[in-house]
Amino acid sequence: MDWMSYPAFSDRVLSMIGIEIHWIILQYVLGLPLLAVIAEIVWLKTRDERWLKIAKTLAKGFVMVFAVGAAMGTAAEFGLILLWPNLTEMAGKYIYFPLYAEVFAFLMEVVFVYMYYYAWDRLPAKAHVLVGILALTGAWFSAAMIVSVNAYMQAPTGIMLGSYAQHYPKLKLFVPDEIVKALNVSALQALGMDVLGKTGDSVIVAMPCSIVSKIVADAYVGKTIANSVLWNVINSEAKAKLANVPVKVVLNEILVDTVRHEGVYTITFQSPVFFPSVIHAIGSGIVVSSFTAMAFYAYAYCRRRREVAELGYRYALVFSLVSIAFQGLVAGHEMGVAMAEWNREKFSAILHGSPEFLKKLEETLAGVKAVSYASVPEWLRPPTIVHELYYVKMGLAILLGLSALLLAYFTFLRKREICSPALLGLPVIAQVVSFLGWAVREIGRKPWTVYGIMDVKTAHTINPPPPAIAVAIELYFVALLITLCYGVYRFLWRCEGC
Amino acid sequence: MLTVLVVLIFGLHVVLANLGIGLSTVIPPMKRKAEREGDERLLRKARRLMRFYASTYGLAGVFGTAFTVFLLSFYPDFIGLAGNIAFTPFALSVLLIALHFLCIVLYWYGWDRFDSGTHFAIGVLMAVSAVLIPLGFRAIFGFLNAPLGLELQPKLHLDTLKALANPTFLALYPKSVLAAFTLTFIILAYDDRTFAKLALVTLTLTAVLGIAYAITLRDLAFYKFQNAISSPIFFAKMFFVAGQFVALGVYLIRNDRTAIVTAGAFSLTTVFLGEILNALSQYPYLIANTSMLPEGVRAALMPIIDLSRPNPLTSGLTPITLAFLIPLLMASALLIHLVTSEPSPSSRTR
Repeated sequence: MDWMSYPAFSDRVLSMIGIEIHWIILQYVLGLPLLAVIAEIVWLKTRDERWLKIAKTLAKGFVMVFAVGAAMGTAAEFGLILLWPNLTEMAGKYIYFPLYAEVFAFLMEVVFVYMYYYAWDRLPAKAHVLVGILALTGAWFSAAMIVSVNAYMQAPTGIMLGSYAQHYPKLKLFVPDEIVKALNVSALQALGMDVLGKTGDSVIVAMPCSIVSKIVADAYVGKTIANSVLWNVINSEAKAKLANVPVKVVLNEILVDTVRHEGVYTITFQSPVFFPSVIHAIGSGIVVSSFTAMAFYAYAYCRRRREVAELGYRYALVFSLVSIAFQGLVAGHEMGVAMAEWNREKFSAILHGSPEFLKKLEETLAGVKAVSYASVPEWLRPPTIVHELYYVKMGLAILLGLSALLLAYFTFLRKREICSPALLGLPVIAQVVSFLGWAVREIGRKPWTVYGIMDVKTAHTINPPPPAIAVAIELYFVALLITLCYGVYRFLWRCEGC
Repeated sequence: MLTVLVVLIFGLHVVLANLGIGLSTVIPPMKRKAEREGDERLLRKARRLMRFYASTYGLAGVFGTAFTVFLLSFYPDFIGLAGNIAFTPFALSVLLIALHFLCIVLYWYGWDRFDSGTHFAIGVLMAVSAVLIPLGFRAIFGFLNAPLGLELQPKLHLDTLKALANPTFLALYPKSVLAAFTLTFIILAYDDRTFAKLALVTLTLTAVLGIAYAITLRDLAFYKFQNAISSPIFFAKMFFVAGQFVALGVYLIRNDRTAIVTAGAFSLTTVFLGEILNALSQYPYLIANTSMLPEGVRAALMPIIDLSRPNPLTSGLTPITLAFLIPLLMASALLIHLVTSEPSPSSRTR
């Protein structure tokens, strides 16, 4: 299926650009503090002033971009509220906790990122390192909270997979006894619902996502029970009483009960793809930061032949090599395994059209047999563009890894001086790989906004901006990013003392 | 308790944002003047102020974000409604925030690196964006006073022009900007009496607009008006406003620095109390004049705007919030202390 054929194309592109620009910038706040703090610790141990200079330069890098990244985060946040208000409302109601906790992470980031840079000469050295660690903790804590919500959107806690013929995927729900009394259970069982058990005040069921998503859609267009899909599964005795009750009220009761049983504060962290998603996201930040720092120091060294730049280049090169290896062999692998297991429609779309040997290889690496794209029911099919995006991403990631390996070989073993403009392309490739990985993740989730629960159309605003306005905002965001890049180039890359 | 926390966070945001509006507007012309007159002392002062702003403006941003997220967590239906109808005002403010933050980066790191004219132009953009950021947000506040522009045909939407013509907004927005100038001028008056004169002018204008705002509330949101003028917060605010006039007068006549410090403290308190008063006076509803809601949706909207019915899943949040917030607020205070106590304006880490 064609990516453009899913609902709200214009607003999906606007969201993609806004969030991607936020992500492009914020990766440096995930990665550079780690490089800076380690450099400062090395300085503390060796008292070699070059390490202090490296730490300060790297700190200046993430402080410069942090504010614009955070502002783009605000733009992304409001973008979600304004373009996908029903998604935001649902997130605020049922999985609000990580968003709430993220506020404290953000405050921690703001305070300690700025304290790290602006109070450098006002704090004792060890206290300053501690501030750096707190800044890094704030950034990673923040990322973990946001990624947990995204992980839930990819594979919600309680999702159950199985044969499409048996009405899977299904979602585990806790239905309060009072609602169960009004339901025609046998009619629901005929539609694929399974009763899993009982708690003190509710019945645990596995509800087909086809039904869950229809109830959610009816709720968010403001339907009453008499006009909704629920009408067919309500007891005849309860119909007169419930006919004019909004579907949203019933849905709310069920979801509140479900969240209470699953864990108000932990529900998103229980998503089966949460842990690999977090390490993969943070790993991506470290890879992008390392390659950028390496290119920056290579550029600085080739311009002025300063010793500090050479040391910075070697330091960032080691980081690049280690981080890309970790990202490819550990974090990326774990992410791939989780995706293949829990996002099987996405996995099938990725493999759709691949040569047989490649399919076998991917299945072996993931340890999961992929379903064929043709066997996926049409209403569950992701766009096939993820196939191309995924393989371009993998190709570029391998290129990046090989480049780091070659650079390390020539730098450390052959003692060659590396002064090539091609090095400046490496951070760009790292950013493109990161973008493509994210694009596969997000585009591959279509037709869902929250897998199995809320589709794109239901999440979308009733008053979308005209496409021309959306394009104008996209251009505005891109212009801001270009200006920021120019600022970083002018005030940091061309910095004399770095 | 949670409502108090939300209001506290919002109050902190507004105080810091007010300082930001004022500093963004004052610093570029101050630096320009210093360059033209070759005044090194003034140049150092402009730089010191910018250093303070560059290192603390993030706090204003984070408290603003916190306010939004708290609203989302406690009143998600309201955020869902706002998201569906209020694209233009919110988008306007958010786009300006992004521009403003970029301008701060360029202005601060471009100090001495851009030529004077280019640097000043960036400063002007920084000032204009700062002054315009509240436009969209205050339009929403105007809407919350009196929901003008909410239309049902062809579907539920907000007529932006009608919303911007809301008299409560037309009084509130310039009043807010002038209050921001007043606060900043009073702080700067500590070592420059010219700012005290400016503060007296803007304070007077703010007071006039405050009366105009009260009149619009009386006409369009009487319930809120009544609540506000009978609240002890209102009387406290009036006391602090009068105190500012007196303290500024004493400072201008006697050049007594205690007076200007008092005026500064009063000004900060006034801004904080004013925001709390404005936010709480429509309690228990988020929209003050509910009778202006279109007949066809009023019944459906009433539970959504009811502040007394927060999200039931948020009931146990107070201890978690306090556990995080108290140490982080202390750390914020430490940051401000470290930045303001910097002895030299030409710090090594710029």
